[in-house]
Amino acid sequence: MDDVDEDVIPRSGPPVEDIDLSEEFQDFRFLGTATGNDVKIPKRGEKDFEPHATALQSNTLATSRQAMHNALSFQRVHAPKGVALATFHPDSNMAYAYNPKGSPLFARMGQVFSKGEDPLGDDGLRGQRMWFLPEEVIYLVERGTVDLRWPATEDDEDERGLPMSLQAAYAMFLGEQQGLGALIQWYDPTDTHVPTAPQSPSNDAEIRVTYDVWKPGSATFKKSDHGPPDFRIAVVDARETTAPSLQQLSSLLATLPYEPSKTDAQLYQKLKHGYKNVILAIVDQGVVSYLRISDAAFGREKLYERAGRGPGAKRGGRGGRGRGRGR
Amino acid sequence: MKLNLYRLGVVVEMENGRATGDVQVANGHPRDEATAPKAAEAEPNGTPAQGQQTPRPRPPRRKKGPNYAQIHSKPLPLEVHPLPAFHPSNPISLLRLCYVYLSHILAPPTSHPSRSYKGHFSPDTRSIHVTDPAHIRALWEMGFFGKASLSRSEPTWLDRERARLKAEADGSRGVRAAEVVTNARREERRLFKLERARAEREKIERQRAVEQGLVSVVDASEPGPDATQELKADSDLAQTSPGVGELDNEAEGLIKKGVPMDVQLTEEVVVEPSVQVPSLRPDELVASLPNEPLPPSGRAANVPNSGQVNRDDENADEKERPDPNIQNQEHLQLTLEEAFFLSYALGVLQIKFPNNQQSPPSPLDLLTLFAKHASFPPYQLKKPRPLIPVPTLAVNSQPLHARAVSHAIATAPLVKDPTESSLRIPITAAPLTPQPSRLSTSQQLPAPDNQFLLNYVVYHHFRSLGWVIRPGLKFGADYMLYNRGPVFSHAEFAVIIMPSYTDPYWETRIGKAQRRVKGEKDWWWLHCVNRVQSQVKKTLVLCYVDVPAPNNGDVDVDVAGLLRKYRVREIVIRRWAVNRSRD
Repeated sequence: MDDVDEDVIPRSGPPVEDIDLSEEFQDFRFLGTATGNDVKIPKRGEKDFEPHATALQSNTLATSRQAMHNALSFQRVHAPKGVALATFHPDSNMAYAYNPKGSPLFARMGQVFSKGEDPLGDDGLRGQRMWFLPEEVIYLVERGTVDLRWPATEDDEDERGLPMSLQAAYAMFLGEQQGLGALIQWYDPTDTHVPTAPQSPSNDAEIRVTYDVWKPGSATFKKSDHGPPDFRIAVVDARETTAPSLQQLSSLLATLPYEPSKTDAQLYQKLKHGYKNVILAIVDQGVVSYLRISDAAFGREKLYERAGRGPGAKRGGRGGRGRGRGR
Repeated sequence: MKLNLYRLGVVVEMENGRATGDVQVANGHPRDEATAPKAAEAEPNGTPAQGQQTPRPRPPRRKKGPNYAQIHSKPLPLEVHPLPAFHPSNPISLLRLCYVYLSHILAPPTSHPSRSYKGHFSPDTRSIHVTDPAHIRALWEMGFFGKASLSRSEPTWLDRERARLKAEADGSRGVRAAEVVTNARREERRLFKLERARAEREKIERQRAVEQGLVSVVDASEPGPDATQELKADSDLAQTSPGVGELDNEAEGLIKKGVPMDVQLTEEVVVEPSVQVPSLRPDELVASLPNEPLPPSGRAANVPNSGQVNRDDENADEKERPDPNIQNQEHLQLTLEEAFFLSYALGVLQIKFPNNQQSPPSPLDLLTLFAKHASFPPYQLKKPRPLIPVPTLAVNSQPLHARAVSHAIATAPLVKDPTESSLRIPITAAPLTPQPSRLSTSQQLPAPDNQFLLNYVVYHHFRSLGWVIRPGLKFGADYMLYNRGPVFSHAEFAVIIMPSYTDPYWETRIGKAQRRVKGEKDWWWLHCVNRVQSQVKKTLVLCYVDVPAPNNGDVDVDVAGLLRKYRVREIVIRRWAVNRSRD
């Protein structure tokens, strides 16, 4: 009977939730009309598979190209007051900034260390000094939010130190932490990420949770009090490790809290959600694939004890209701 | 051992030792017990009682499919004896309840069929063949066991063949077997694609003509709004998933758009793809859409299997007299796991072996035999004795020439040992699966990670939880899990078995050498499998089976004890899209 399934294999592509717009070629004409903040994710247009020598087609293509070009060539400006200066600290392989301003990101990134932890010691400015982890710095530099400087020496006429290029930032931070080739990819700008601890992904057999992730709109998240994360991400190297063994998964799942789905969830939802879950970020030379791993408890859902019909289980052939007694 | 499951209102009698340790046999499907009698009462002949209905004009009713809820009301081929319901409004029902209860205590009814289902083991195909039509239907209807050899899964060959011969004889309409429906749908889909391509070509031609000034804009756009609308509907067809269900919607949508009904429903428009439609009047464009093959009840995709042909049609028997010339050449083939489950766990299947007149083998022997046939050629527990006296064939690691093999087969004497395939050639002197060489007792047992054992553990596990579990090779998985059965809903889960060697024994040097599955799967493999499953709207379940250490000299081994040592853990894998998880 599996052939029946085979016959209705959806030929329209993956289900909606699996569509990743970043993997699609898009019609960029929507950018020409996009104004302000009301930009919606475009609908995918029709795909032309070959040129058919009509002016309509070539005009459409030219318009789309021009729209993309215009959008990319839009001049981006950094207000001089809004740039935050950060200084590289070679000993700790981190960077610090004093009272950084100019971006809402600072409300959720970086941390102020306590007396004993601050690498620069407990001077008077410790309270204003915000420390950034390597991946945080690189993300901010790539974004243009932070102007990163080399540590100032006596020879510099400017006490702020020489500006550090993006390449230098990569070289410095990556040189310290080995195997972080995909560092920038770990941080997705759409989400608010806070590392549990500055952990580097391990190449040994054990898989550990590397990051706790909160959604961007998370109301509960505060820097001082994180609250439970929305997701937990474990980073693994695709080339150094293999698909997880039972031991690896058991020990990884053992570190996770018990998070069952709602009790009134439907059967398939319950099973797919599982009662413990983690997201694996499989990194292959900078390309990341995310897989959600959940500990499904099939043994808890005994179909023969369920009173109702399962989801998707249609009433047999005849369909319709009210065919029973008393009609 | 007798299990009285009063919670389910079910009494199931089981043979000794049939229930295994950590996996329990699902005994009944209470929900179906509740629904089945109702259905039976309401529709004694499988047709609804409409006699007392006042005659009023009704829309033509759809042709009914079989009542699957009734046909497949039993989840397993066991008879259940539920206690009757007690209705407080009807005190006499209490008496009836007591009567049935006491009679069950005094004379427990048996759950097993009066005669066991018969199958015979075929070493060549490594499956169990069931040839009795009654047994085939029983095993299919109660639990969806097996696959019919000449059909997709449900045995429909004989019905299709009769209908075909009948259609040839008197030109009547064909039969609605699942395979026929599928073929019709494929043809319909092919015509639709041709027509869509043609419409697109026309559109481009018209655009070109307009641009070259051959056609004035007014001329071209005169039927414009309608034409573009239709074309848009056409391209909508292309965009939205053109599964068959949507096809119907679109066809209905076209009807609603005011296209003349006679064009839609009565005219038999057959599209010749090569014929150019000269003008482009919108109604013609629509009419040429291959909507004719869509019957008003054409939701073929939603009727997973229209099943036994005309089973509910009360006139069917008169119309279709069995043709004496047709012999049913179809049999049901059970996989080794299904057969072992039916034989060992349920005790309803009796397996015969060729040339074996003695009493049926013990479950342990059966398990060992099936495990032996899990790989081809079946491994030898003892030193293989040469079946063919052609010593040159057993060349040490030289590639065998195909001609040499076929010669050997042709000249080989018939093998008398029924458990071995007659095509066996001692190509490899060493057994394929390494066996413990030190222990004489455990030599009789298959390796703990034998593929049959792992498959059976998983099969038994999910069957016990109430799932209908069927082979999933076509989906790149080991098993597919159906809720209630394939005729009711599509499979939601695809299971892949992952043998897991966590026992310390497997870390020793001998243990490592004896692992059947060596090496780990890489992440690319996992993504591959997962992509395929999400493409067919299934969810991937990695089923880790913890393989125990081999049996160390324990003489007292039974199947339940053997299976109890396995542990199963299911891990669900899904892609996680960052964009979709932001809220």
